[in-house]
Amino acid sequence: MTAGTGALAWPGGRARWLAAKVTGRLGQALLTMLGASILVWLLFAFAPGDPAQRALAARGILAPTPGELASERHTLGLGHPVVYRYFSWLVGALHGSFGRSYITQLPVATELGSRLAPTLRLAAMGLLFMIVLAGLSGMLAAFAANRAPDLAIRVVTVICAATPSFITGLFIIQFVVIRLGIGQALGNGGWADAILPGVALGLASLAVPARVFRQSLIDGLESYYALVAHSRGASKLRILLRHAAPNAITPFTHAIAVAAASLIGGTVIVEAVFNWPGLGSYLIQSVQARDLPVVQAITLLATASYILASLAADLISLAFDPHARGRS
Amino acid sequence: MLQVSIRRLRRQKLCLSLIAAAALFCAACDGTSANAQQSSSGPATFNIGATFLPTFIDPAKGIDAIFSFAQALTRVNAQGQVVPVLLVKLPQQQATSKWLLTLRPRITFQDGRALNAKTLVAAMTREMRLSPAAQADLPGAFFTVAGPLSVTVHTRGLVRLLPYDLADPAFDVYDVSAIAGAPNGDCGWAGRKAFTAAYEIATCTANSMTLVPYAKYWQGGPKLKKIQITLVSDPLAKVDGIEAGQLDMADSANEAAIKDAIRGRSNVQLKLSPVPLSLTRVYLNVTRPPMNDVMVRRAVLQALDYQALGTAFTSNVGQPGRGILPTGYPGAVANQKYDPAAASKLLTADGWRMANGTRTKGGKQLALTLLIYNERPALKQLAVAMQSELSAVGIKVSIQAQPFSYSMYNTTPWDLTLYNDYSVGPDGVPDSYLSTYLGSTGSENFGHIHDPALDRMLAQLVAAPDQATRNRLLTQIQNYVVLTKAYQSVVLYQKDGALVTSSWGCYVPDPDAYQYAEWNWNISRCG
Repeated sequence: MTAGTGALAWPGGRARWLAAKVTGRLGQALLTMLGASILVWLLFAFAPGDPAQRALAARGILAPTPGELASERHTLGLGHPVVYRYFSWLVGALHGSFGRSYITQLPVATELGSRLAPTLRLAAMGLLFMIVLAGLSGMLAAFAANRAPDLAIRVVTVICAATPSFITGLFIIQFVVIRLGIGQALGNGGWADAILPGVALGLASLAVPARVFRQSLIDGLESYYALVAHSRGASKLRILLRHAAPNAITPFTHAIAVAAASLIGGTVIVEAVFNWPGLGSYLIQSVQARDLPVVQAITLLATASYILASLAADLISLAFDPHARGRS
Repeated sequence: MLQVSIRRLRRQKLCLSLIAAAALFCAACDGTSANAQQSSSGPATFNIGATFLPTFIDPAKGIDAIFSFAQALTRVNAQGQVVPVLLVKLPQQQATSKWLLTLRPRITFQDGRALNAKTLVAAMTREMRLSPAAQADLPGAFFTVAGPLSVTVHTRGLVRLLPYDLADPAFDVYDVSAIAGAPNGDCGWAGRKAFTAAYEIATCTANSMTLVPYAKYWQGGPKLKKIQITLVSDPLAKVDGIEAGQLDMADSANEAAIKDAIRGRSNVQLKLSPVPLSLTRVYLNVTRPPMNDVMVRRAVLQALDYQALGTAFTSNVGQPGRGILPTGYPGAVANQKYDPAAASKLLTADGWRMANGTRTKGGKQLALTLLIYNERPALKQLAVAMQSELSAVGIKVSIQAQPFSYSMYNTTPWDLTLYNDYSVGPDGVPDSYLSTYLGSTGSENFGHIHDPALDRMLAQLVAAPDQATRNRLLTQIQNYVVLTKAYQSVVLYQKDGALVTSSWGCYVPDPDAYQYAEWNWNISRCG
C-alpha cells in the first residue's frame, strides 16, 4: 500500500498540511492586495492631466492662478517622491483614512462611513442568494441532465445572465412588492430589506456558477468512482450528494469568486433601483463630480472585497479538497 | 414499462403544478396593490418621502425643509392672510417702531416648560443674534418683556409687514434652555423637545427622521402615532414607494419623469398646488471674474431663452420665468427678455472676441462653471439647455453637480447656479424674501451681492407706508436687479406637487402647505 499524496504525505500530517496551505493562501491574498493597491493608486495618480488642476477643477476653479496651483500641489503632497506618496497613502488607507473629498473637503472615510454597512449587507445577501440559487439549480440540472428540467434551468440561467440587474430589480418591485405586497420598494439599509435587492443581485450573477456546478456534477456522475458506487447499489441521488458534490465544490467556489466581482459592481445599480442608502449612489455622484479621492477609495474597497471573496473560495476549496483527506 | 409509466406520471404532476402556480400568480395580479389596500385601512404612521431632510434643525441656521416640528408666532394661510398661531391675536402696533405681542396662555414646549414672555424673548434674542434671515427681516430689532405673556418688539423704523415677517421659520419659537449643550451637527437638536409643535423629533439620521406626538400639545392630542420621514431623492423611487404602500406622501413631485411614470398606475395621484409655489432661480456669482463684469452678466441673462427653458426643456411642468416675481403677482414686472443678438453685441462691445466658437479677451476664454445639485435631477436638463444657449453667443459653460448641502453653503467657486426655491417667502409676501436673496446680509444671497443702493431700496420696501409706494419700489427693484445690474433671473415657475396615495387624495399643496402646517393640527386621513 502506498502512502498516497496530499496531507498524509506531508511531514506532520494533515494539520500541518492545512496550516501551510492556509498560510500560503493568506500570503498570496496579501500580496495580491498590495499589488492591487499599487495599481489603483497609480491609475489615479497618473491619470492624464495635473492632479492639482483636477482637484481645483472639481471644486469649480477651472483656470487657477499659479499661486492656487502651488498651494494645491503642496496640500496634495505632490512635491514628494512617488514612492513616499504611495506609502503615505497606503498607511493612511490601512488606518481608514483615504484623504479628503475634492468637493466637500471632508474626510473620505466620514463620507463613506454611514454608507458602507448597507452596501456590505446588500452584497452579502446577493452573494448568499447567488450561492444558494446557483447550487440548487446546478444540482437539479445535473440530476436531470439532458431532460426537461435541465433544459428549463439552462434557459432560465441564460435569461438571468442576459437580464441586467436593474431590470430584475424593477420587475421585483412591480410584481413582488407592489402586486403581491411582499417586501419594501425603498430599502432602509437593514438585513430584512436587503432580501429582495439581494435576490435581484444574485439572479444576475448566478448563471456561470450554476453552469460550472452542473458540469462538474455531471463529470462526477460519469466518473469511475460513480460507476463503482452505482454497481454497489447506490442511488443516483446518493452518488450525486456523497461522491460528485464534494469534488464539484472546488470549481463551484472558484466560479462563485469570479462572479462575485460582477456582483459587487451590480450593487451600484441595484442600490439606485431600491433607493438603498449605500455607496452606489455616492459613487455615481463622485464620478460625475470627478471627486477622485472618493472614487479611488471605493475602487480600493471593491477590489479588496473581490480579493477576500477569492480567498474565501480558496479556503473553502481546501476544506473540500480530497488531498486534505489523504486521498490522491 | 413500469419506468415509462412512472416518468409519464411525473411529467403530468409537474405540468399540473405549473398550471396551479400560474393560476395562483394570476389571482394575485388583480390590478390593485395589496399594500395599497392595506394602507387605505389606516396605518398609524404617516410616511413621507422627502427630497431633502432638514439640513439644520436650528432655526438660526435656516430650516430648509419643514416638517412641522416647529411653530412660529404667526403664519400665512392659503388665502395669503397672516393669522396668529402662538399669539392670541395679531401683533398690535403701538408706535412707529413698537409692536406688542400677546402670547396664548398655557402653551408648553415639548419639554414641559411654559412658553411665556421670558422664554420667548430668550428665543427671539438668540435668533436676532445668530440668524441672517431674522436680521434681514427685522434689521436692528430687539425684543423685551412687557408682561407675563406680553413682549414688545422694537424695530428700527417702520416695519409695516411685521406680522408677516414673524411667520418666517427664522422666528420659529423654541426653548433656549432645552438646546443648551446640544451636540453640534445637523441632528444635534433631535430629542431635545425644544419646540411647541404637535410632533417632536424622536430620531434623526442622514437618511431619515421620526416624529412622535407631543401628548400635551396645546391644540389637543395629535392624531397620528408617528410621522416617518425618509430621504427619497429619485423620482421613480417616490412613485414605487407610494404604490407599494411604503409612503403616504412624497414631495417635490411635479416633474416630467414622475408624470410619465404614474400614467396608468393605481393608487398614485399627483396633487398640484393651485398657484406656482416654486421657482428655479439663476444666481450669478458677482464677485468672481468674469461675472463681476455687469456687461457679461447682462449678456448671460439675455442669452437665455426663458420660453424654451420654461416649457420644452422642462416638459411643461411649469411656466417660463418672465421676471423675478411670479407673473400675476401684484407689482410683478415681466422684464426678462431673450435677445441673443443683443447679448452678442454686449460681449463684443466689452472686448470679448469670438475665436473658434468661444469668446476670448486678453488671452482668457469666457468660460463659466454652472453649478447644480444632485438632489434635483431635473436641473440637469435645464443646465444642459442653458449650456447650449450660452454657447450660441460664445460663452463656454461646464456643468458641475454636487450634493446640495455643499453646493450652496460652501465656498466652492462657481459662476452660475440653478437653485430651486419658493416663489414667495414663508411670510407670504416677497418683501423680506427679496432681502433674503438680494440683500447684502441675506441668508440666501448666494450670488454675494453687496450693493448699498439695492439695500436701501429693500429697506424702503419693508417700510413702505402704502400699496402704491410698495408697487413703485417693487418695480424699481425688479428692473434694477434684472436690467441694470443683471444679478439674477428666474427660469421657471412651477406648481408644487405631492405624490399621494388615494387615501390622501384630498390633499392640496398650497401656501399653507409651504410649512406643511396642517400636520401641526390633528391631521387625519382625508380620503
